[in-house]
Amino acid sequence: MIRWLDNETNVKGRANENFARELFELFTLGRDQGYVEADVKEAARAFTGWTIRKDAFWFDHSKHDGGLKRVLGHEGRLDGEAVLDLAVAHEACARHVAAKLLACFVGPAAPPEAVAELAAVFRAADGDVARCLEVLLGSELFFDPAQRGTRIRGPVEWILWVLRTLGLRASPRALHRAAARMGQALLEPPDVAGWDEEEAWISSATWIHRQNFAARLASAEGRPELRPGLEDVVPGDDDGYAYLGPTLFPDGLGQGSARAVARLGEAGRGLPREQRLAGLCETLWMLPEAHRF
Amino acid sequence: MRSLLLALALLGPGAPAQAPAPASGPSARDLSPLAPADSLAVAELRSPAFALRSLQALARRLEADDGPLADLVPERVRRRLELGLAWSDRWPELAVGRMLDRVAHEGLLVGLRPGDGGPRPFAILQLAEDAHAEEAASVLRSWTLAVRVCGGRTCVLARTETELDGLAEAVAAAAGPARFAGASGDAGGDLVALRLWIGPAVLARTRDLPKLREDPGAAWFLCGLPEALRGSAGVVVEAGVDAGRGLRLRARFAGFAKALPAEARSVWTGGEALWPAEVPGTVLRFRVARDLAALVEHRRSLLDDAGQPPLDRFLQGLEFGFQGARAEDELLADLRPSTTGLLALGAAEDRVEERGLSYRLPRGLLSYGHGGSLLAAQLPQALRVLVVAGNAGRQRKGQAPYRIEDAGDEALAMATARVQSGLEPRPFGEVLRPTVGSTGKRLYVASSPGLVRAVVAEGETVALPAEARCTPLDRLEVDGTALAEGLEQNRDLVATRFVLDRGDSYAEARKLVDRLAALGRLLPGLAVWTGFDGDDLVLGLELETAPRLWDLDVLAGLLAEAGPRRPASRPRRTQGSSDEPAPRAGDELLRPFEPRPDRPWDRAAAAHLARRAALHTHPALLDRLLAAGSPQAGVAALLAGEASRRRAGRLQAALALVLAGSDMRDLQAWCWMQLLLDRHPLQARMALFWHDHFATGPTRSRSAAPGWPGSGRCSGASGWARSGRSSARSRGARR
Repeated sequence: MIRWLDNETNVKGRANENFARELFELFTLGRDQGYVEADVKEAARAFTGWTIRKDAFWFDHSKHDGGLKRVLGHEGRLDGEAVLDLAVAHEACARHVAAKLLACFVGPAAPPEAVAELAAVFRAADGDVARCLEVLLGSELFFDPAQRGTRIRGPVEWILWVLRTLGLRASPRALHRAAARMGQALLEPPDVAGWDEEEAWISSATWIHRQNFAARLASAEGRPELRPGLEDVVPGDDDGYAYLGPTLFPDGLGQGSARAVARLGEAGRGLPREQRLAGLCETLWMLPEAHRF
Repeated sequence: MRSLLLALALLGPGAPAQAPAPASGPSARDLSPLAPADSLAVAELRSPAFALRSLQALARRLEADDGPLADLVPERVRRRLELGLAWSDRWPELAVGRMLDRVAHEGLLVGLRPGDGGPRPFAILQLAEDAHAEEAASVLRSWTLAVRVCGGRTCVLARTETELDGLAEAVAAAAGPARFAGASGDAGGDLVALRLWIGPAVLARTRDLPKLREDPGAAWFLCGLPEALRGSAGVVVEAGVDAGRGLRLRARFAGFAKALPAEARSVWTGGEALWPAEVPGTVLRFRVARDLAALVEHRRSLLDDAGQPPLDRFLQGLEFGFQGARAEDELLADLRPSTTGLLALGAAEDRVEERGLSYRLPRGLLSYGHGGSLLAAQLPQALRVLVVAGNAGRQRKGQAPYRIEDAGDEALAMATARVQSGLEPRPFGEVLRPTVGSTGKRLYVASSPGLVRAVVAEGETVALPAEARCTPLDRLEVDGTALAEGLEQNRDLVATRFVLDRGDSYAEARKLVDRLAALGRLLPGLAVWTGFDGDDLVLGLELETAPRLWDLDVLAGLLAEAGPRRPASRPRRTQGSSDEPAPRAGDELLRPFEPRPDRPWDRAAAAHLARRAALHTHPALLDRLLAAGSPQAGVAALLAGEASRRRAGRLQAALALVLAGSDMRDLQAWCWMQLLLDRHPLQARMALFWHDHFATGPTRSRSAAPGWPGSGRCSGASGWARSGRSSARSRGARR
């Protein structure tokens, strides 16, 4: 992060505000929540001297601005650690983290009232995220049927669902390449704000890469690293739907999807099981229900 | 992109009304794209609503038909069609807005490829369109309107010489002969096709091409190629056929590393071969490098400069832009697809200095660009300005964006002066692509093909039309009446302008602009444009002609879709604010879930928990959650994870190996191993969560190790994946 946000160039007398700004805006408080421009400038001074040496964090005293600073209403000879403490202790931080957890686990339609509730849990637990998850995931809100299927799977989430639900294996490098084409290369976020999510995952361009991935994974097409061994993981000797349907979609399928699957079954009659299985998996993975969760 | 192929019966101008009588059942002849032309024309409209109905109609037809049609449609095409319908059933907003075109194109291109014996999409959709042939015919009955359809970057194929002449005349009358020199009067053969790109990209004219006669599907395929490649391969290909010189493809590259498939080069360079039948797939890539130089060289040898109309040279210039690289490798190394750049040149410029590279540009080249977003505006007298938007993300990270003030000021100043003086003619009411871009502190706005709306420096206000009013889109009014109602009541709205405020980020604004642009393409006479007014982003919506022939419900729906709603995409959107509602006592949303008859703790509920918190629904996981006995116990089981020291040890060992090397790809692959094999799926979930929250990347790292999980002061594999439990106060690891 120090490199990514230019803190190597943040030195006494020539403060670089990148890290301090993102610390408040993205990592802790949220945009325009509880801080002003002056806080950013002063906080940047506190992070002077934070740098990298020999591929590890290094605090360079000689470049640190040890003067008086005023950040988030507190004054003193604040250093970086102190500013981090102030930011995390700020009430906006709890709200910010709570809102992101809600968006992740409950979805984009999470009611705003829940933010304050979860923020209270976060504060009471002194920032223990596991405790927040315990409360959130076991709550009435989380299990509200209206919240089901409201999120859109990102590339990594979708690929993990495809593989782990059926216990399939694939080459990690191939998966990385596939996810990158779909718009999410791990360790390579588009910028410090992370990835655009939900609807932004689905475009005509990324969708075709999902389609290609499903087709390749289902057929293996001479790519041993993607060979899934579908015949091994799907029991029975039918076309596999009796197992795959309830396993992939415990909530069932919509009318249009069910129709597509039914017709596929008819069209596949007489084909070898391997082919039917591949065709079915490709279709199931590309149904709309497979991309929401 | 939204698109639709709509085939319909159309009466030529002055021709007797003669509908193509559908046969009792489809025959192979019906499925030939060049079945004897009963004055048929094909229009391609960009309307998702039409597309949806077309697909539905086609699917119904296929379902009901066990005969030749069903036999001729490949299974793969059928599967795509059905998937498209399943999406539209379940998820209409995405299916129509983002998916359908791809579904359609995939199916169509597969069906179209010469040599596979499959049916032609032309004919498929012709059959599919019976359902609303009348509606479509009403649109195209007037040539003038047909031209407007063209103006929205729409393809019109005329299938007889008479039609071509009629269409060309209509176009020339509307646009002026210079703009379409050669389009009229050159239809020498009995088979003609005209592809018109109105505005800066006059594409190509097709006439009397022997190859086309042999396999007319190829022409259609080429016409579909741009759409097929758009966005996927970083290249916009414009394709057409030319009687004198064979097939033509033109490519405009958004990124240097992606271009036409190698197999397509024979089309480009040879001018002989059509698209080979063995091309596997529709989205293909190869490195540009010297292949491109060879293509350009060949292209140049084919072109007679003196004989080219100015607009042709404009496109030609785009190609020649690649010639300017002094050292090809240097160019490739320097110009990443993600970099942004811009040149805006007057006609006399022939050399450009940029980032230490000198580019030689042919005289007459007006612009070129690479990477970023291509923003173009065009003015008469061959003054054109091409702008590539500064990449906000890059700028934010402190990387120097390209600056073009020096190169482009004069041109832009002239453009602005023309706009502000009201001299700028508007040959068409249509908008091609409303665009906005910025370089440094200067913002450029362009909308219709002949217009640069404004050039705005930071702190200035945008030059809005005097009659502009600022109104949020959802409260747009026309003479006191809400827009949707107004359209309903008054179908003859003319020259009405709207402006809307929207204080929002650039990225969000661009999304909105794109949606509005799609809307603009649907509606002749609707222009959409953008600008800044102080800190507020301003979007303009401009209706100049009445959408009277269009489905107003569709319009209202699209407006609603394009309106200023907050797409639920960024988690930040739900973040709390100081005035958020306080939790009410006794009605806590986060109170423990208590199963009851109408909301049992069953497999579906466990699956929901597993999907969100573990990202998969393996039967064993669901069994484990249900065996826990209650939702809360299931959550506790997820939080505890499953211990597998052996597996953790192997992952740890793998990580040590990865970090000993210096290849970031190894680390990325290791992340995938961890995600796939970890027995603690909630950890994996949280690792992704925090990766998005503390988003950072290796761009400036020298190796895989520094600052990355498990390296230096971090605590290794488990430390990375365990971040979910480590709370936001994890910065101690930095020390």
